[in-house]
This record gives sequence, C-alpha cells and structure tokens, in this order.
Amino acid sequence: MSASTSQAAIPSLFRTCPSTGLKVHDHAERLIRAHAVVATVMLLVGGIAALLVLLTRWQAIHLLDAVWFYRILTVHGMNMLIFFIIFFEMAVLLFAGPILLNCRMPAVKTAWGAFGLMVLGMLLVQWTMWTGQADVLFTSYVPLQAHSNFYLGVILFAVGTLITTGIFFATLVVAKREKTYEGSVPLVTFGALTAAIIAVITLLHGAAIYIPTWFWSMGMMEVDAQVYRMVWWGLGHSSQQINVAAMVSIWYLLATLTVGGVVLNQKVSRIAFVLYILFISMASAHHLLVDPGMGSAWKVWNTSYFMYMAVLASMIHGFTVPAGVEMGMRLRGFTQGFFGWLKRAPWGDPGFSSLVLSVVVFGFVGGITGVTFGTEQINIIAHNTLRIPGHFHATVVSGTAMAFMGLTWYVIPLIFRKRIAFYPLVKIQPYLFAFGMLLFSLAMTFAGTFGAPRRLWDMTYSGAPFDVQYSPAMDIIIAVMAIGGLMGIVGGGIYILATVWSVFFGKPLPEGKEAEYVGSIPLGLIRRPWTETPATDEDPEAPGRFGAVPGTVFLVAIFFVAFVVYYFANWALLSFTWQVG
Amino acid sequence: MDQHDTAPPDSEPPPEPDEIPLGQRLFERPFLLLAAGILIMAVFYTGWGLYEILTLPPAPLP
Ligand code: HEM
Ligand SMILES: [Cu+2]
Repeated sequence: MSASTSQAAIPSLFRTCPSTGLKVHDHAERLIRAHAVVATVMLLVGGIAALLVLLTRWQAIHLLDAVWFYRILTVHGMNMLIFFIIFFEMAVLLFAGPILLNCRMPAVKTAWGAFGLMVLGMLLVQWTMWTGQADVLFTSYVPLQAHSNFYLGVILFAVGTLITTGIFFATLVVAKREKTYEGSVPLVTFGALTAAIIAVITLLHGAAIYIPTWFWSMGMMEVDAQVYRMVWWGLGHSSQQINVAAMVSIWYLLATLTVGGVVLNQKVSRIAFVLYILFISMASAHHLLVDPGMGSAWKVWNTSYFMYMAVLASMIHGFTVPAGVEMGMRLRGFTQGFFGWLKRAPWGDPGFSSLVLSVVVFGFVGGITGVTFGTEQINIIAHNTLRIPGHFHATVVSGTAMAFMGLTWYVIPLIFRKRIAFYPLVKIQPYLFAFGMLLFSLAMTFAGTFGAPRRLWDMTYSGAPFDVQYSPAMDIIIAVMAIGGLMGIVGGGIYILATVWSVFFGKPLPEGKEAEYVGSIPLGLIRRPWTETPATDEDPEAPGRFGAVPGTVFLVAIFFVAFVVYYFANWALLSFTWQVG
Repeated sequence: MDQHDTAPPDSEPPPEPDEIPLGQRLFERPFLLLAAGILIMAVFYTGWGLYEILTLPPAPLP
C-alpha cells in the first residue's frame, strides 16, 4: 500500500476541469460551506448554554432555577454533541470524499435535500426544547417523555445524516469506477470511511429506538426502559466513535498540512481503523455496567476482550500520528537530540498547536479515564458522578472539537478562500481553549472522585431531609472547574468570532498569493511542506539507540506510566469504598 | 521503510491485481467492511443484549 497517501492528494485539491473551467468540486465546496456555517451556529447556541449551565453548577453563583437548568442542559447536550459535531462531520465526509478523491459530486440535489432534512429536524428539536416540551436531556431516557415532535425532529435529522453518509459511499464507488485516484484511497479518506461505517451502525440503532419511542410519545405503544437504554447507547456510544474516527483522520491530515508529517506505515494505520470498525461500537455496554438487567457475561464480553482491540487501535494512532510528525520534521533536518523537532515545530500555527493539544489531552486525560471507567468493577465508583462529564469533555471537546477547530484554520483559506480575521488572537486560541478545558476536565474528575454527582442542579441539597457532607476541598475544586470552563468559553468565543468574521466579512485570498499574507493565514499554507521532497545529508531514518522516532517513544513511555498509575489508583479507591471481610 | 510516500504517486506502475496482498484487497471493499462492522455489533451487543432482557425472569415482587 504505497501509492497513495493524503500527501499525494493534496496538491491536486483544486483541480480545474479543462473543458468547463469550473472547479471540479464546486458543488462539494458549496455543501461543505453550508454544513460548516450551520455547525458554527450550533456551537454558538451550545456555547451560550454551556456558560449558563456552568454558572449554575458553580454553587457560588447558582444562576438558573431548577427547571431552566435541566432545559438548558438539554439544549447544551443536543446542540454540542449532536448538531455541532454531526453537521461538522458531514462537512468532513464531503471533503474526504469528492475533494480528496478528486471526483465529481454524485447526487448533488439529494445532498442538498439531506442537508435540508437535517436543518428541519434540528429546528423541530430546538422548538420543543426551548418551549419546555422536551426537558429530557440528550439521552431522553424512557419513561421521561418529550413532545412527539422532539423525537420526530431527531428522526428527520438522522435520515438526513444517513443520506449524506450514503452519498459518501456513492462517491467511493464513482471515484473507483471513474479511476480518479490511483492505488488505494488516501489514508484520510479511509479514516472517513471508518467514520461513515460507524455512522451507519449508529443510525441503525437510532432508527431502532427513536421510531418506537416516537410512537410511544403519541400513546401508540409501550417502550421498555431497559431495552431503551440498551439500544439507545448503541446510538449514543457509537456516535462518539464517529467522532473519534473523524478526529483521527483530521490528525493525519493536519500533520501533513502543518509540518509535512508522513504516514510511517500505511498498513498499520489502516489496520487500526479496521479495528475501530469491528470492535469499537460494542463498547456501548460500558454505559450499562451498573444496569441490573444486563448479565455479567454480556457486560464483560462487550467492554473488555474484543473491545480492547479498539483501545489498541487508539494507542496505535496515538503513536503513529506524533511519530509521523517527528519523522516529517527529522526529514526536514530537525534532527537534534530527542526533542529538537518539537522545539523547532511551528507552535504559532494554530493548525499545528490544535493538533498537538488535541492528541495530548485526548490521550492523556480522555483515553486514560475512559479505559479506567469502562472497567466493570471500577465503574461503580465513577458512574453518574462528575467524573463522567470530566472524561467526555476531554475526549469530545478537547479532542474532537479541538481537532475540528484546528482544521478550520486551514479550511477558511483553502475552501472559503478568505484570510483569517483577528489572526493574532487565533494563534493563542488553541492554547486558551485546550488549557481551559484541561483544567475544567481535571477539576470535574476530582470533584467526581469526591462524590459530586453529574446532572445535578443543587449540590448542597438545600431543603432535603438529609445532609450531605463533601470534602472541604470541594468548593475550591468547583471554582477551579468554573475558571477552566470560562477560559474554554473565551477560547470558543474567539473561534466563533474569527470564523464568522473571516467567512462573511473577511478579505479574499487570491489564489497562489499565499506567500504575501504571512500574518493572516497559517504557516503551513505558506511553506506547503507537503509539496516538497525533503532532503537532508544525514539519514534521519537510521535508527538510533531508541529507534527512528526517539522523542515519540519517550512520550509514549510517559503515557504508559500515567495510564498504569491512574488505573491502579482507581482499584485502590475501589478497595476503600468496598471493604471486604 | 518502503512505505514512506515522499515520492510522487505515479513514479511506480500500479501493481497487478494478484500482486496486491489479501489484506489490502479486503480493505478496499467498503461494503464488506460495513457488513462486518454491522454484523459484529448486531450479534454481540444488540442481539445478545435483547436476548438477555427478553429472557429476564419477572421480579417476584407483589
Ligand atoms: C466551551 C466549553 C464547555 C463548557 C464550559 C461546558 C460545560 C458543561 C457543563 C458545566 C456541563 C454539565 C455537567 C453536569 O452537570 O452533569 C456539561 C455537560 C455536557 N457537555 Fe459541555 N461544556 C463545554 C463544551 C462542550 C462541547 C463542545 C460539547 C460537545 C461537543 C459538550 C458536550 C456536553 C454533554 C454531552 C454534556 C452532558 C449533558 C447531559 O448530562 O445531559 N460540551 N458541559
Ligand atoms: Cu461510550
């Protein structure tokens, strides 16, 4: 598998059709723009909701009343996790399909129809949520009941998503038939294919549960609560793995775009993606580890054994992406010591800093906490505490959303052909967002370890017939969480301001004139590291005592130590909770 | 490491179909991967899970 990589695909990004003079991907580009704009609006709504929820959980302020807390928490979950993320992912599929494969866009009208369905469904959901007819949180567990239009909205949104995913598959078929690429599809497209396959698994479960629940909401049938939870998490968990697959694809893409990162071994990276396809969805069972209706064999089988193959896949990507960056830098002459390549890396390029921060926080915080909480025995001390949102704000926010943001700084010049507004602010945006969310996630994880529940309006239980004592540190931990969250919100605000401004009021970027705009587009677009063939005197691949990528090997060793320490610390915690004998 | 793709993609002729290793040929069939993904999930998680819930004895509570 050598003939094609993401690198090979990028120089031809803007192929012009010789006969019409039209860019081949005009249709795909317009669709990408539409999806990206809606995604950003969703992020804005979800972000405002984040602020309100955060200021309520911070007991010192306790902003909203109980009804509005749960209403806005529903708004936050739906707009962020479902609408922002999925509109963006559809844009990624449209990019990884027609554009990377250099192929015409099949079924253009259908694609717009699907987009329309998604918007319509989204609006229905917004309407029911904001009018107080769907205070059910994004999990909408039966027997909590929302207005039937909430479920209908979700179904329409899902149908639209399924159609766009189908069009991605159609693009693969068309591109192959019309031979628009040579060899295998680029790795980034393969990653997007992984995301698309998991999306189909997700949407099948979504249909299987939301259609009956829609009928139930109209009084036409019964839905069993345990069946609901089991099938719903087939959707709820798998959808997170669409995010992971999309994020990893973007990692590979950003590594290439920013520093000319190489794919060390196509075979290994692709096998890792296939492990996701086969084994990651079944981990849905980790959401049901304390459910009495499910047996141990089912739980253990689905959350360990095979599922660890998917964890292995994540660890493979977590090694190959930084190793590809290191090798790319070494090939360009940054060969000093273990970390010369890191020191000389383009830290001021927001695409690069987003990539690194996304990999590090996703791996160190999201990955380690996730595998630990997914262990059947340990789950009981983490379930429904703030450790859970602490975990997934490190995965889907600091990992996925961060990667999406980093990619945006390349999409604006490449697809929207605009310079980036407020570029000096944009350079610090990734740091602000990532460190804010890191602080937020860590504080939530600590608060949860000390027993703070998730999804709770009033942690002090004022007026309750019982008294709950927390550790005296709790107030401080919650304050740290609030400060981290506020930093993250400022970072998110800069992202929205700069993207909206650039796209709607930004100065155009004339084609081929990138070099003249050093202060307003990412460095990678000026240096274009993916176009040059690197040449150095020394052979950077000649393995030293610690292999060809010693810096990455060192970092991975730290990761494993952290992993082992956290994992066994949790077994120790469990043993305090549950004295035997 | 011959997998490095710094050379332009058209510098080598595309290999004959039977030279392509089995794994690679499998990975180039998106619908096969799709079917495999759905099958494993449907059997181990959803199917088995439904079976567990549906065969659960009713609680002996009044
Ligand atoms: C900008 C920074 C953000 C802040 C400050 C923030 C803050 C919060 C807070 C305080 C909660 C409530 C936790 C609880 O009481 O259980 C929450 C829940 C949640 N957040 Fe965020 N969030 C942010 C961004 C995001 C993003 C980008 C996503 C998804 C892509 C997201 C997804 C969720 C989800 C799914 C929940 C759970 C809702 C539920 O339990 O029903 N958040 N967030
Ligand atoms: Cu999960």
